Amino acid sequence: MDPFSTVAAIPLLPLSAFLIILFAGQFAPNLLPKQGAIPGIVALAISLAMSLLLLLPVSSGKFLNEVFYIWNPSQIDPITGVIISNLHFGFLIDPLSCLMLVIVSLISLLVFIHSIGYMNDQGEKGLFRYYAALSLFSFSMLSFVISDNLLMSFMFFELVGFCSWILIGFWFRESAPPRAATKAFLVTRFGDYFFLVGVVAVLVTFGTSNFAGKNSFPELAKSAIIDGSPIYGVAPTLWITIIGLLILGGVIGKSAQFPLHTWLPDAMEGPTPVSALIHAATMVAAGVYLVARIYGFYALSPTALSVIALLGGFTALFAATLAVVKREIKQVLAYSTISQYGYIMLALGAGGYTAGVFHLATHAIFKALLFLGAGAVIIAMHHDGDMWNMGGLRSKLPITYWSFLFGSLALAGIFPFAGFWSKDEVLFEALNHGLGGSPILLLSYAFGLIAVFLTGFYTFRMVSLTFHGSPRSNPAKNPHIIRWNIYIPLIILGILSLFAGAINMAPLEELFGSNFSYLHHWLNMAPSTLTAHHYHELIESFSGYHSAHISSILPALISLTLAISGMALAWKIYESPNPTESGAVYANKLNKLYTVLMHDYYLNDYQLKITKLTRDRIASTADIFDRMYVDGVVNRISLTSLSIGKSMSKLQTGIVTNYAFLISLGLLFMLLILVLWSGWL
Amino acid sequence: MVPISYYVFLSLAIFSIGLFGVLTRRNALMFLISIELMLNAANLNFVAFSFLHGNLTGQIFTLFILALAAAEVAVGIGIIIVLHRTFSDIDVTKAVTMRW
Amino acid sequence: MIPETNIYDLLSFLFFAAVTLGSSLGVVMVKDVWHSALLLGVALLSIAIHYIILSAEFIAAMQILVYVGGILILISFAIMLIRRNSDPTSNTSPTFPIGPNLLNGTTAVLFFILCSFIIYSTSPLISPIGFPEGAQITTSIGYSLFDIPGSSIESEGFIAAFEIVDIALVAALVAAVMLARRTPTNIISKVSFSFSIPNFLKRGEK
Repeated sequence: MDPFSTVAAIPLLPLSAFLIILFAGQFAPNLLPKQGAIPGIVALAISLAMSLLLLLPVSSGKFLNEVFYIWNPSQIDPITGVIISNLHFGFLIDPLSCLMLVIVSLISLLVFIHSIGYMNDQGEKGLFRYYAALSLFSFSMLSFVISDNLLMSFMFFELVGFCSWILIGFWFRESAPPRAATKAFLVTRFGDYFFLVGVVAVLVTFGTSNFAGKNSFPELAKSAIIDGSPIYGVAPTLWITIIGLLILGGVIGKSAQFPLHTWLPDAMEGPTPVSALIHAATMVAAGVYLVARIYGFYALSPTALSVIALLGGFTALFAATLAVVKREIKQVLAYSTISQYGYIMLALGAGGYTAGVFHLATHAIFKALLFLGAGAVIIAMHHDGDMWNMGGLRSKLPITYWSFLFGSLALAGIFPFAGFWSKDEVLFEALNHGLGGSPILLLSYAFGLIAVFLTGFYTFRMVSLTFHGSPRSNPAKNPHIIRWNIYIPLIILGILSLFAGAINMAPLEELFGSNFSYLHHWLNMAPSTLTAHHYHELIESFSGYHSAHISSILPALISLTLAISGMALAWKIYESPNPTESGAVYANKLNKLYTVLMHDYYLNDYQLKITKLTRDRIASTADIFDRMYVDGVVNRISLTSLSIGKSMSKLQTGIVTNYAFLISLGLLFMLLILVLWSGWL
Repeated sequence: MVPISYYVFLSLAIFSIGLFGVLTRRNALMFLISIELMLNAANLNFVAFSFLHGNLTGQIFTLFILALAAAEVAVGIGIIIVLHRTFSDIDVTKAVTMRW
Repeated sequence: MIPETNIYDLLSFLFFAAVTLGSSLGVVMVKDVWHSALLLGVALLSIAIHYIILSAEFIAAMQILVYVGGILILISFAIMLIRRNSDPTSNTSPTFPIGPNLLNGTTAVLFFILCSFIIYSTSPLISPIGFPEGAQITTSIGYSLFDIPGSSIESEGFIAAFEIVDIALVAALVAAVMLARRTPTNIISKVSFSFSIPNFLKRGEK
């Protein structure tokens, strides 16, 4: 059986699970004993199997670029005669999308299993809505991953955001989750507005938004730059930069980079499995996946790449500083997510396509692991997420502890866990191309390097406060029972985070000379315009990134040292039977800094203030306009007729002779007019 | 025989005088009297034109107007009596309750 | 058939026209109502003479009978019956107001001017035809009034108008009587009174 012919089934299976759960939940609830988990698990297990099966043909160089359904046939523009290609849904299966398919379906499946323990076993009600939304999310994310044109990606981008809104606001009867859900939706929507403008710009400029093939828009853009003739009056490189930056708006919103990162910490109001799936591994990955997908387009514009790199490096540092002071475990993980996606953006902006994809893959694994572990801890602590109430859980939850520790070490980037290999690849690419003649990349590298230290610090702080020491509250002393449905995903992901780094061990390749960078070769198997090699050429020729040919071992050692020293500092502060935050380190000197960090650099308040200001201005203008002009016109019309009527009514004086006078006056005038008309005078 | 246009002028003059009386006098009975003048002016016009054309229609019309004028005076006097009863004065400028 | 204008015709016309105009001016301008009623009588009589000049003898007779003998008497009765609250011997009848009402009066003057202009500027009318010598006008009026053939002078039939005027006169009679009766002062009698039309026959004077 050719796996390529049944590609459509991969996203459609979760969609059918969604429909089954929805209708069964409404009309026949007794059919689904676990309130909808079983159809989702079955569908995703089959999707995972099919995605794994797809690995075989793709690894031998085959790919799929097929149109599935045309919903707007191609037309010829009547004015310019240009052929506008059709708008369609289609599939693009190449190494990158295949890798993402595997990751998304695997993590979705594990989250479904975990949800049985987090939601069903804790006695939650209304879970049909939950599982239906999760299935719908899986459908949209899988479709987003295999879409073959930008417009289809945009549609599923939005659908993913919608599912996120449903799931964050799952416990809508409390006051905080619906607000957090709306905030998430609106902030990402704000970015998506620019994305939409970018999509339209692509369609208008190039006539097509396909990703792959000779007629794909990256190829057309490249030939436009080589051609050199201005597009809409500006130089082609500038136009491509503008489009790239517009699309970047959506990426910044969705992947929670600065300044549109404010929604992600609030999104932690949703259930922890949701946070694991959506806000760690998949939905926020959609943004950076998009950049990787159209990397052939971004590689043509050095400005866009520099913006991406600088933004990524800055976000990595900025979010890491905020994660250092948070009290709740999920908040620390949220800021950590923002920070790590900053790293991926740094990699992509620095010309390291392979490094970015690698870190994306490993981050998905260990961040999902950390969130699922946090879910286990929260269940144990009777739904309390404040780390200062935890402590000493190591002895009571051993499996959770070891898997969480693996995940943390991967996050901090300690050898030999997955994070070490990928993060060092990222930093190496930044340094390499930076030393090859791009000072912005060096600045971003510096940001990233400082963030490594902070990452190590906050990671170990998290582990130490949660698991080490002695219990600081009653739930910590008597944790809730956790069952196998929590443990199994943790174990699977723990093992993966230990060994997943093996897919691209570039330093080892340099040390030993043989072929260890499997991912790099995998990504070279793509169709000709989508290979890592092709991107490398584009970066060299169009964006001027040159490799400085430094060794990859030295930067790896530098970042490893920094990470270990961060962890050591955290050990020193927090590794005691009764750790305190306001201890010696945070005495009066750093108190102000502490306050600022706890308030997220007041960015939330600032964004709220801007929003309120804009809203109030627009609303008051609209209100004045409405009341004075729209209502005013209506009021004045009636007032006019009323006042005319009032003045006219003064004619009724009641004196008969006046009436007779008016009658005769009227007669006189009529006679006069008649006479003048007939020309008698 | 005098040209008929003289009679037309005469009737116009009487009509205008009657109109003047209607517009300026305040006594309700004066009102009525002035209206009688106007009617008579119209009658004169009818008879003059009947003489002009040698047709009896004008004269018969005059008869009808005569009859109706009498009826109208009767009703008018009835109204003036009621007016006097209600306002105890027949000054038309005093009876002004039906106004704005 | 009609002789052309000779001086005697013109003089008689002018004389009687002057009488008419003078008396009607007096009607509207004298202060006392009674005086203006008497002057109205003079005006009506002079108009009857005009009718005779215009060969409308029957109409002239009717004019004198109805107007002078009926309507003028009616008006006189009304003037006598309606007394003003103040002393009747003093000269307190409504004065001719030279004030705001004069403006109303100018409308009439303007009307006169405008219409005389119109009449002046039209082409002159044909010479009057008049009635045939020895024709019986009154009998012809009678015949035409009832659509009976036999009138020697051409005319239209007025039978329908005759009947309608008949009804109008009855209505005017009833209306006048209804207006003039007195209504009781308390509300219950008022309501029952208004529902019973021939009440005035039963109740008499209250």
